[in-house]
Amino acid sequence: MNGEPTKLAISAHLGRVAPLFDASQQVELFDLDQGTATPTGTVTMPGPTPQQRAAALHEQGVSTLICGAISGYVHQVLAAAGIQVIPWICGPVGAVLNAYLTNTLAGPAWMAPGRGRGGFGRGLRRRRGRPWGSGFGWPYGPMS
Amino acid sequence: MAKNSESQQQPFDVVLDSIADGVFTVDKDWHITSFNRAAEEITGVPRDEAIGRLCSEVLHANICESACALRQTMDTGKPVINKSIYIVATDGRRLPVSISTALLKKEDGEVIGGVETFRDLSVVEELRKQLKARHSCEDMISRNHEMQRMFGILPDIAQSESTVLIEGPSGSGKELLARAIHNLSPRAQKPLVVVNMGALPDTLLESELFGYKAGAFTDAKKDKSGRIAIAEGGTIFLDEIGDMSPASQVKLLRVLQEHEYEPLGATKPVRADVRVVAATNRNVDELVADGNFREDLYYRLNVLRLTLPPLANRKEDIPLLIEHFMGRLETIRNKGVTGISDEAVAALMRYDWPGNIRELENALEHAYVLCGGGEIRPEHLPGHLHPRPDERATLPGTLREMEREFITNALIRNNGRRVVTAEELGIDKGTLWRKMKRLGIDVPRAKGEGA
Repeated sequence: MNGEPTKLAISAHLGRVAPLFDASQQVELFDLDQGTATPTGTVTMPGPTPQQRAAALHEQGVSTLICGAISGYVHQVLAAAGIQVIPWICGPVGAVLNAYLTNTLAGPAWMAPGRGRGGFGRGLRRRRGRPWGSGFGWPYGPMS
Repeated sequence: MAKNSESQQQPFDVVLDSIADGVFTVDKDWHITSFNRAAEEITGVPRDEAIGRLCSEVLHANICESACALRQTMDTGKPVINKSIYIVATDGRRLPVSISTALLKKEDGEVIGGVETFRDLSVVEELRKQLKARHSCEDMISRNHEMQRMFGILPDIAQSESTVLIEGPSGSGKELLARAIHNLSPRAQKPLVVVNMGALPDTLLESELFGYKAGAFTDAKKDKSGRIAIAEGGTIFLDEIGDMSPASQVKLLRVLQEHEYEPLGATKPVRADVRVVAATNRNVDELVADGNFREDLYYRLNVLRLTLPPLANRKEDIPLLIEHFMGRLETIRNKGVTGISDEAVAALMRYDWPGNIRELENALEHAYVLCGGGEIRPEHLPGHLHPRPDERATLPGTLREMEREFITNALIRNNGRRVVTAEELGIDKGTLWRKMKRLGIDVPRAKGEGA
């Protein structure tokens, strides 16, 4: 956390984490420094393709994205662009940001239904068999 | 807990669980109040985790933010039926689903929320993709019998080194076919160079095709590579060869005969390693017969000959092409155009398309620009495609009449040959026979076809 502040983005809709990043229209940006977050504005997603979305976040210097659901391919494109993705989060943006700053975002309270307790049915069966699926669960790595 | 809740299931839940489609209900605040077994299976979200949560945080649909169907129903009171969307399941897969929504009311009519059903279209989508793959070759799409036969032999043609002559009217996809041949050939990693021979005056042809050396003429300050040199190792596509002047024909003949050429001002010939694919929208046989095209050049070019039918002869491809072009436009411009109305498709099917696929593509782009979003309707199409009032009365109005006209035209086009017509239409002979009987179609059989 020395030098340049880290840039965090939260995909948001009506004050909550947007339900699906693939189709979300805006992200809210925050500068993180010394354990505090300063809002720096919002960015409108330029288009529907994951490449356009990754480029827009990259241009803003975003290193971490907190979002709701995200498809495997879009997740891969963001990861390839060097953006750490914390997906399948739901809740009010302010509370989610606070949970992130206090390292408590990993709790089931913030996890989208079906993700917190291992899922159900086909979704879970698929996730077990797909190597990229493992990238969607906790841990996401260091949070600070 | 699951067992416990199962034992306490109400008859309503038992009915919902027996349905193969996903069903959930929400209250007026968008919180899920019931979630059936199929919904659990499709989304990957267990019922006990879904109940009480916001529907958007359970469904994760692409329309949740921008065009929620349930909200539309709650706002207008009108149901949404079979809207195609996608959701992202908990394993990160995008699932195409078809949704329908309706109001949820108490017995006294008071609205207490909404209900949404959704059907997993993954299998349908997969089959659609497979069908599309069957009907495509490189960037070309067709289910036409002749085109399908061409797709079948195209890989063998591409693998050979022989010169190919493509015939077909303007806008029928000659360059696309040339590209397909190049892409399927061992030369695919090398360049494909397109030269419009009709657009090159004689005075420029040599310098454009063969290049020149510095000092070859007044303005030749340094060497310039010709198109043949640029295509070295690859393919050169000579379009509109029927429009070449006699003088140009002589120069091209030499390249084809000797596989070498002399750049302007060069002192020795250069060997050319290029494959030649030529095309024309004119009837070369007639040009040769009239003395407007050299016979020796014709024989050099006419090693493998492919003929692209005009779009008027492959109208069964129009729906496929519409889907292809609309999909491409929507991908590039993302305007929210969701489809095309049956009336607009009928208008496109009625027209004879003298400009062929290029004209169809332009008409669709015109409609796409004028359509503000949603469905493309006839009024979005270019004016000449609007049915005239006097024409409307004589046009096939019902699906049955359209089918009758379509099959009759196909039979006439194939000289009454049932087997070939059935193949062209993508149905079996028995189905064609039944449809002819049902629709009262009476086209004489071809000679030699048994009863």
